[in-house]
Amino acid sequence: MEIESRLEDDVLVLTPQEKRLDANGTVAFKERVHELSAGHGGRLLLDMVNIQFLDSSGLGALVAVMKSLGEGRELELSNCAPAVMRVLTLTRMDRIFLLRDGAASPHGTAA
Amino acid sequence: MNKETRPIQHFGARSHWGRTGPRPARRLHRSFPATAVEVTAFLSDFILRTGAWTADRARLDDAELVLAEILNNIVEHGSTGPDTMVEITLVFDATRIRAEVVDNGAALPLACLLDSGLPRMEPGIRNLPEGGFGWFMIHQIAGDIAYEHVGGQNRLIFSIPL
Repeated sequence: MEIESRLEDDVLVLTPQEKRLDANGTVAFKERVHELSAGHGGRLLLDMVNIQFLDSSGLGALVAVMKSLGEGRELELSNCAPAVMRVLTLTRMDRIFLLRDGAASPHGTAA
Repeated sequence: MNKETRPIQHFGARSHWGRTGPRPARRLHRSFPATAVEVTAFLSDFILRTGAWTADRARLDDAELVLAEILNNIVEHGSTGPDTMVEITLVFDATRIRAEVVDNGAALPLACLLDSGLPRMEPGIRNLPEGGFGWFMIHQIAGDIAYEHVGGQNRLIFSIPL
């Protein structure tokens, strides 16, 4: 899975280039995120701008990424499409991830 | 067609729905091997074909999610090999999609059919569940869920509100 990566201050911003985060791509997704974030101790923001579809496998992958950050660190998500937000709210996982509105801003403020 | 020896009554094949109305029922019928690639191809086809049948994109998103969860469940847990096939029939009416999914894989654990709520959420990030969300979401969105295992085939019927 292709994921764009950039560092803004201490925030690692990862942007998956796929339209779907589902049963087909979760293993590759987790591996790639792990590679890109290895050694990074700061905040991790996943820009979901391209993701139009998330299923329970994709959700499990997001949980796995958050767990890999360790206690006290949250996975931040930005630009979640309505279909993605639907899955997060249905499963109450919108309370687990740190959701950022609008454009990916590393500080969570309007760009 | 030999109705007598057919193990499962396929409502999609001889649907009586829509006969009373002037317009034929909007119906999608597909058969494909139970693989992840085929499921993704079906879901793309589903959106392409049915996008014009309802104006409510959020409802269609829900439908895609339920179908993805049910079909991926067959691929991941029901498939017994390359001979495992899925046959799906969707009939759209004004208020819902009526769906039938038939496959010849392993029987569905009956526990899946119970709406047992969210997976346990223990305190602490390391205890967060990474699975168990699929059937929860199916039960949240779909209704009228019925299942039978007859003649080596699983038959799951459900409806999705539009």
